[in-house]
Amino acid sequence: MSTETTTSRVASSHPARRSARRRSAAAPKAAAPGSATSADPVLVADRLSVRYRLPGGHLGPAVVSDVSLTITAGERVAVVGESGSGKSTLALAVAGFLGTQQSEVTLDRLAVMGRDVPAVVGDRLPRARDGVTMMFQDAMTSLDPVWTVGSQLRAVVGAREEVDRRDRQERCRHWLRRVGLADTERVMAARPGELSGGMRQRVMMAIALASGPRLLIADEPTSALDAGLAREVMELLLELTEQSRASALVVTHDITLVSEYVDRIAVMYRGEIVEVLSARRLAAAQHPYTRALLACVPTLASAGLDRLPTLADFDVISPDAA
Amino acid sequence: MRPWLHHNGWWLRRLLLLPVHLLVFALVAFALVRTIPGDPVLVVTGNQISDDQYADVQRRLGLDGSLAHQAGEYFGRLLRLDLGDSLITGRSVTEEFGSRLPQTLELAALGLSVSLVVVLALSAVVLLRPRGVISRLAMAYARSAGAIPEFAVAVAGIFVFYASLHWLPSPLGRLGPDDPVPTPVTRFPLLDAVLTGNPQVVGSMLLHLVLPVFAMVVANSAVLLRLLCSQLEVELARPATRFRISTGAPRWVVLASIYRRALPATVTMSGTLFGYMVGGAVVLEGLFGFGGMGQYLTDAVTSADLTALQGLLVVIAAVSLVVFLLVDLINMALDPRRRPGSGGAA
Repeated sequence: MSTETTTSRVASSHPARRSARRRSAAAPKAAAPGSATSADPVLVADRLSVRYRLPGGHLGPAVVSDVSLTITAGERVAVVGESGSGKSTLALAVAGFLGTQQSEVTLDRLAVMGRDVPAVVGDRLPRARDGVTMMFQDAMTSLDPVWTVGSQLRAVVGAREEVDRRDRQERCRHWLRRVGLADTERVMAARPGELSGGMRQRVMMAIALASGPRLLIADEPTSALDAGLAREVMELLLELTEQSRASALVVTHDITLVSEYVDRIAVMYRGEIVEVLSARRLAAAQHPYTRALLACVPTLASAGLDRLPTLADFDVISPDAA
Repeated sequence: MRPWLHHNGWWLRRLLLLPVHLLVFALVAFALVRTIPGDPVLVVTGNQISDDQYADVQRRLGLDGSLAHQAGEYFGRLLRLDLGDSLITGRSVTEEFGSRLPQTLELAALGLSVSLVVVLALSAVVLLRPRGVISRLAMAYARSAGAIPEFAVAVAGIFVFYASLHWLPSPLGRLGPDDPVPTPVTRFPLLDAVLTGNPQVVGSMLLHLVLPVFAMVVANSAVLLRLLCSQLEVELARPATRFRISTGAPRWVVLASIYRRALPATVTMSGTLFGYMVGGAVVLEGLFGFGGMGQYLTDAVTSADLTALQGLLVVIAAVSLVVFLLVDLINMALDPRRRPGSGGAA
């Protein structure tokens, strides 16, 4: 068993970073009481790096390297990149799901709603980060297969609001109706395996939103869905976060789909954020990798081509190329 | 009625299968005795018997007449729960089993129950405090699964706790010499002791059970602990657990969710282990001077008491089938995907 290895970073050679105050991520200094205000960013991640442990306990190469990201209240940010770029690991680290037994997380600062938080919450059995809810790729595996939808929803509603049984049931129906599920009784009595893929995705959204997040992290929320349903789910997800005045961090490989629904897009390549763009100004992309990603998107202009381009067609190997 | 049947059909169907399974095993026992090489009558009696004696033993073994006649007699008696009379003692096999089997089953059930409690408690410590001393000791013990047999633990326990420290009573029965013997009501000794309402009897019996149950727990918990901990590890890493945690579900809900998904493998293993524990109980009964199936089985085998052995085959099969029925029902209750007709959707 390893000892606590989630550590703060020794200041690097970068002058701006050298002055970064050393801070224990495992036992962070709590922000002063009452210091969190609505003007504070919902998320501040400063120079966050993640390395996974290899068999034998040795650390592998950095999967996420010196990533800094800030999300303000109500803002919707997407992290895009191809498979293996480190975007899901970044999401797991922000949500506090990388234990010290499997990984090493180093950072200068991680703050949620103005309060510094540890890189790892708990150890083997992590604890939830206050205000942060994470939705995973596949609703089929994210929902508990042996409990009914009703019991899963009730547990979340009951943990958040002290209401009697009847009110709790009504709150559950309310959340299911909010995600467009009308036959609430049937859905609540069903187990996830008895629902369709789209219904499961909506149930997952209902549970996530019922938890009252200030920051909703969605890891590839549409990758298991067909194009039509993916658009529908993305619309619903971001509409509901907007109504709940929550911020959103969407991890996806689909840059064009997500650009319609978010404010900013952070492009991740080989564990680093190489470019942050306004979702309205994708054409202004500078980094060759971002341009390659955009060039791979099928458009009307690509209809006449023999085949669609892939990332392999572009010379975008070095993340320092910009 | 229909909705009730729809919701409860899974366990009703499984329950109704029990008599079918019992019938199959009874048929196997019937066929086995009749396919033993040689003449069972001569095996039991030796060669030096008259024709009249031969015919008498053949009738008492149920081997006279045509095969259809024998089958009719055999199943007719089974339906009346009549397993025949012992060829050696002349006593009813059903009555012998009725008085002895509950004692053995109770000992095995106690061993399994305490093992499960210990395993559940230790697994929770390993899950929540993986780096603590208790967790490290528990996992070191779990890795030694199956290394120490029950009787070795029992002998060591008798030496240390009775012979050396005198903390526990002598291994000469379930009660001390001055304790009143409870009236047999259920034939399960501890249960009968509880029914007397006499705390002295219950206390004495519990003290006498400490060592044999301890031996069973030490010898059998390791495999259960190792299995449960590895399943908990798998379920802990699943997105379903992370999503539960992330949405702020209470800690106990998260733990219940993990355990419910992790337990079926341990429940199945417990069913298998119960059979081993019955076998182990037979040995421990001899060591601790308990009544039970142990001595009866030894006598039946050494004297080739075919009626008793045939009855034993059916009874052990019935006990195993009931245990596996319970295992199936518990697993189907824990994981509804295992219920017939659920389609196994994950």
